[in-house]
This record gives sequence, structure tokens and C-alpha cells, in this order.
Amino acid sequence: MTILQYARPVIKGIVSCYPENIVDNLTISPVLSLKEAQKIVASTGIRERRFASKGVCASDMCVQAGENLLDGLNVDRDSIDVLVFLSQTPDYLGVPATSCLIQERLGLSEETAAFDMVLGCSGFVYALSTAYAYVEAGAKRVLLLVGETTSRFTSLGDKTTALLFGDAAAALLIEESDTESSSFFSLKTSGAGGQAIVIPSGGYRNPSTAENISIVEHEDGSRRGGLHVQMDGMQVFDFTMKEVVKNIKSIISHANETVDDVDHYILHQANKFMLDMFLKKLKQPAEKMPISIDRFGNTSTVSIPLTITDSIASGHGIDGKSIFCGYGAGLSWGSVFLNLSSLDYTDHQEYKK
Amino acid sequence: MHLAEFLEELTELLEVEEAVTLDTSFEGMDEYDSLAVMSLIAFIDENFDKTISGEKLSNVKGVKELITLIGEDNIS
Repeated sequence: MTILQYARPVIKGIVSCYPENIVDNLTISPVLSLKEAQKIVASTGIRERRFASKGVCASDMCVQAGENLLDGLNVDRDSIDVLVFLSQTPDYLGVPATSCLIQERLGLSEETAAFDMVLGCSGFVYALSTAYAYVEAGAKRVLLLVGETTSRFTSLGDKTTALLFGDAAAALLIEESDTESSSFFSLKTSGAGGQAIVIPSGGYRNPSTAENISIVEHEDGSRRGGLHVQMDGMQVFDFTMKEVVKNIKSIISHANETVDDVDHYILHQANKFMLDMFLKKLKQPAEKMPISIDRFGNTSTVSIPLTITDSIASGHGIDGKSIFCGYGAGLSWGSVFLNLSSLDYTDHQEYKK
Repeated sequence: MHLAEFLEELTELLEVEEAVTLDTSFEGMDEYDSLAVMSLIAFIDENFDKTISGEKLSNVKGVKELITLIGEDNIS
């Protein structure tokens, strides 16, 4: 798609919320030996992750993050014109949209437009561009909520995905800035790779049956059912190597900046090995690319805001010219160049029941 | 890169006990898994400024074929 440019929307605040349960990646999978797990951890960089307790939905963590954010910024709830909920793990399978339930839970006005968005790990950049578009078109404030309980669709018996995904949520407030602050988005798709990351059953293409949801053993010794995510790791890896750095460089040049001018590269946390490769290809120092994957795993759509609040909470400020880049299922990817000096409030907290 | 150095790097990267030679086959080698292929992509990218897909590398049968893929001029 063409480059989207926005003149005024900015991010005022970000709050992330993550579950209290810590999962140790060296011991969690029943199909991986300690040696195998160590080898995977050394490559992906994911030492531990957070899994939501039974009964906790992505929306629950989003509501906590949203309340903290609105209180922290002292925002009048009636001033939220739009609520966007981005997730692959909604409360219900589409009906009703989870965003509608959250409108009531957060005490937002009936004047609020609320809707859900669904995309994989590229989703955050897409949803942010949607929020920006609403603000550019006159919405006073947009509350963007992103949340995932990926642990619910991952089989710990699947050798490819067992040690990857984690649960988390984040809330962001987007509004118009007093001064001009240009942002540039590039959003792309390759549906030819649609089966590279897929939950094959449970939708309307392949409705759940007793047979397709039962857990069976696959060729590589992995055990999973049709409601579990499955991934062609090599295809995804090749795709990211081909597209991610190219996309980032292209958006930087559209913003009339250079790779060195960018203060922070906040990239989707899919795999530490890949992030290191991107850093090398961009020829940038490690300080410019914050990492949260070692403690949170791949939290899909949440990983970019989670990495920002994690970095700030650990004393490494995020301010100034920044790149976000998301890439994943679809296949789908996108980058944005923006300025984060607009951030007035951030928090990084555990979910409390 | 000299051939001896290349073979030494490959032995280290694959974490195999027996030193890799020109005749080493990857077929049936447990160590030649997807993680090794990823490391190999990074190694080739860094040393030969060439991006070879994981799909291609996964199907390489042995060291000789790997050298052909990287380019024989690059390894002497």
C-alpha cells in the first residue's frame, strides 16, 4: 500500500499488563528434553514467559490496563470517541465484539464507537494507523486496547511453537497533538503465505469436529490438535529476512530521515536471533533496540507496546524518533516512523484479579 | 574465506563432535536442524554478504553442495 502520512495524532500514554504466572521454558514442554529446550532457548532468547490464569481473558488484562491509563492521564471518560480492541483471542467468536463489552466495563459513553480488529503479530502497527486515521478525521481521543492469551491456542507438545508465545495486554491513548508531529506508515500483505501460521480448525472454513480438534501426534513427534496454532518456522523466518529490514528502511526514507537518525527501533519480539540479525543489517547499536522477549516471549500484537513500557520501567527511557515494525501471520507486515516525545504517562504492571 | 576456516566454523556452528569435512553429508544428521539452518543463514549473510533462504538450505545434502550454493569463488 502507499505510504500513509498523518500530521497530528500522537500517543499520549501506554500501560502494559501481564499475567502473574511465570513459565520456565526449560521445563515446560513434555516433548522436549532439557538439552533440546536449552538449544531452543539459546536461539529464540525466550527464557521465560507469562501465562494468564484459567478464566482470565485478554479483555480482562486490557480493562485493567485501560483503567490505569485513563486514571494516570486523568482523562474524562466521556472524551473517548473511539475504542479499538485488537486481539486474536476475543471473549466470544465474533458475536458480540469484545470492544462493545469493554465500552461498558470501562464506563465509556454510549457516544463511543467501539469495534474489534483481528490480525497477527503485524496487527499493532495496523491498529495504530486506524487509531491515527480516526484522530486525523476529527475523533478527540482513541483508546487502543491490544491483548492476547496466545497460551490458549498453543500446544506445549508442539516442538515448533511450544516455547514461543506469551500472554499480555496493553492500552494506548491516541489524541491530537498541539504541534505538528508527522507519522508515516507502510502496511503490506502476502496472503500466499496464509498457511504459514494457522489455527486450522474452529472457524467456518473447517468447523470443529470431534475428530479435527483431538490431539494427534505428527511426523516430527509434535502433539497438537486443530484448535492449536501451527507454524512453518522456516517459511516465516525466510519471509522476515526478506521483508522486515527492507520495509523499515523504506519508511525511514519516506520520512526523510536516515537509519542513524532513529533513536529507537521497537520491533515485534518474535525471536532474539532474528532481532540480532535485523540489528546487524541496520548497522545500529544494541541500545537502540530494546528487548523484552527474554522474559515475556512472543506476545504477538502486544509485543511492541510491552517492550516500550518494559524498557521505560527498567530505566531505559524511550523518547524521540522511533520505528515500530510488526510482522507475522497472514503473512502481514508493517512499519511506522513516529515521534514518541508525546508520551506523558506509561506503566508496566502485573494483572491483579 | 579459506576452506579450512570454513569447515572449522561449520563444525562449531553445527555443534558436531566429529570435524566437518568436504565429504560430510547433512542427510540424516540430527544436528542439521532448523535452528542450525538459521545460524547458517546468519553466518553466510555475515561472511559472504549473501542471503540464502532457509528453504534452500534445509534441502542441501552436504558440504560440497553448500559450498556450491555459497559460490565456489568465495571459499578457496
